[in-house]
Parts: sequence; C-alpha cells; structure tokens
Amino acid sequence: MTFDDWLLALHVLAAFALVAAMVLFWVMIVAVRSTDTPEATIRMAPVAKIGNAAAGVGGIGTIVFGVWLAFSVGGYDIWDGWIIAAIVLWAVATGLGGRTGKEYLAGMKKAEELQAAGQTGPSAELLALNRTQRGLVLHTLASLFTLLILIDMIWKPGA
Amino acid sequence: MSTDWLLFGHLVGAFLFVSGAVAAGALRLAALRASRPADVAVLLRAVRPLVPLIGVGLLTAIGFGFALADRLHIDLSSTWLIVTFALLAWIGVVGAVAGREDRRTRELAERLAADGSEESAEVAHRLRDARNLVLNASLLVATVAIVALMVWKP
Repeated sequence: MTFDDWLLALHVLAAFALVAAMVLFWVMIVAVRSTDTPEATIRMAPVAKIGNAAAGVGGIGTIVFGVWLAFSVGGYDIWDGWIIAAIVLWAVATGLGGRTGKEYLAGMKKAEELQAAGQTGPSAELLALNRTQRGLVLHTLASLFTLLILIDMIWKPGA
Repeated sequence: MSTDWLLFGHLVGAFLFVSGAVAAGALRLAALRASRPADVAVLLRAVRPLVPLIGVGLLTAIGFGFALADRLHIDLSSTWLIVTFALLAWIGVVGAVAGREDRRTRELAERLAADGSEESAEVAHRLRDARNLVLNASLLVATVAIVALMVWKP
C-alpha cells in the first residue's frame, strides 16, 4: 500500500467515526424527547461523552486527512471546486453540530440544577428543553450536509 | 445504474450498518456502568431503533457491494472477500444470540424499574456476564475488521 492509500484509509475510517457519532446523537435525541425527569436526562451523559469523542475524532480526522490527500494525490488540487465545496460543507456541518450540542446541553444543565435542588420529579420546563425543536432542526441540517459531503466525495463535480 | 450510484448505495449502507453497530455498542457500554434497573432499561431500550438500521444498512451494503464487485470485475473468491463473508456470517449468528440475551436483560430491568427497584444484582450479573461481553465485543471487532478489510483489501 502506498502512503496515499493509508491517508485515504484513515480519511474513510474518520468518516465512519463521524457518521457513527451522528447516529448516536439521533438515538439520544429520540430518547430524550420523552424524558422529563432530571435523573433520566443525566443518565444520557455517558452516551453523549462517547458521541462527542467519536465526533471529535471523526471531524478532525476527515478534514486533516482529506486536505492532506488533496495535496498528496496527483490530479487533485486543494482549489478544485468539489474539494472547496467539501471543505465548506464540512465547516457548515461542524458548525451546525456544535450548535446542536449547545441546544441539548441546556437540558442537561437544567437537569443537573433540578437534581442539585432536590427536585427529582417530572419537570415541564426540562421536557421542553429536551424536546428542543431548534436542536432537532439543527441536527437534521447537520445530517443533510454530511450526506451532501458523501455525494460530493463520490461524484466529485467538476473534477 | 452507474458505478458512482453503486458505490454511493454501498457506502450509505456501510455507514448505516457501522454507525448503528457503534451506537449500539456505546449504549451497551453505558448500560454496563449503570447501577439502577431504570437506567439500564432506558439505555438498552435506546438500542431497539438501531436494530432495523443495522439490518437495512447491512443488506444495502451487501446488495450494492455484490453489484459493485460484478461491475468492477472483482473476484468474489479473493481472500479479503471470503474473510468478509465469514465475518458477516459471524455478525448474523452472534448478533442474534447476544441480541436475544440483551433483550431479556432489558425486559428484566424494565420489570424491576416498574416495581421501583433501586438496585438489582441479577441485572448487573447479566450485563457483566463474561460470555455475553465476549460476544458483544466480538461483534464490534468483526464490524471494525470488515471496514478495515474493505478499506485496505489485503
């Protein structure tokens, strides 16, 4: 295997980690939609940590190895339209992912506040935060932009 | 159908399959660290929607994979493909066995949670059962191995 083959392999593995994190976050989004107690909300924290770790590794791995590939592989240049499009899509998806995390973190923080105050019963306010429509839309958009990256990677428009 | 479409279908299937398997593994790991039956029940219940995702992803990846192999004239008797088929068979069989055991653990945890139980030695024992842990770990290892085989094609 050549060095470029290794770069491509690591780029693809990072992409798998990134998509795995997105799916894990989808599972959490569905799970917390019916969660109205602090305890049940906080229960999701370890899963979120795993998702954040996978998203971090996947996000950084895809862009670092992807840009490296663009410089390394003959026939492709960093200023090729489809590569610039991929970088822009990656930046947008990452930004949307970050904002999604902040939306759902509000529910987690509220749950911790309620638990610290000894309020362990159901909370309408907590349920509303966990069911954040804004968070759902942001994660849907992040997922769509990730799908667009895959389409861009396969069809390479303009290459 | 063009080769690009076949590759797209194969990759979408692979992403769904691997993502679902990793997410299920993460939830199973989180359940292992939970002590209350209610916590275990919530985490294992979250695995349920992933099962069809894993199944659809696997079938899509295999279907488009065969079409792609045919289009690209890849020899199906290549060692890396034979090992992949063996690992897929392993995932199918072991996934069914481990999945059934986890379903029983979830049902037990749900019953205990409904009764208001705060701790359960039986749930903890089932989650930490060595055989079940090895089976679940082997599923993740097999999934990662398939990805590695597909990427590196040794």
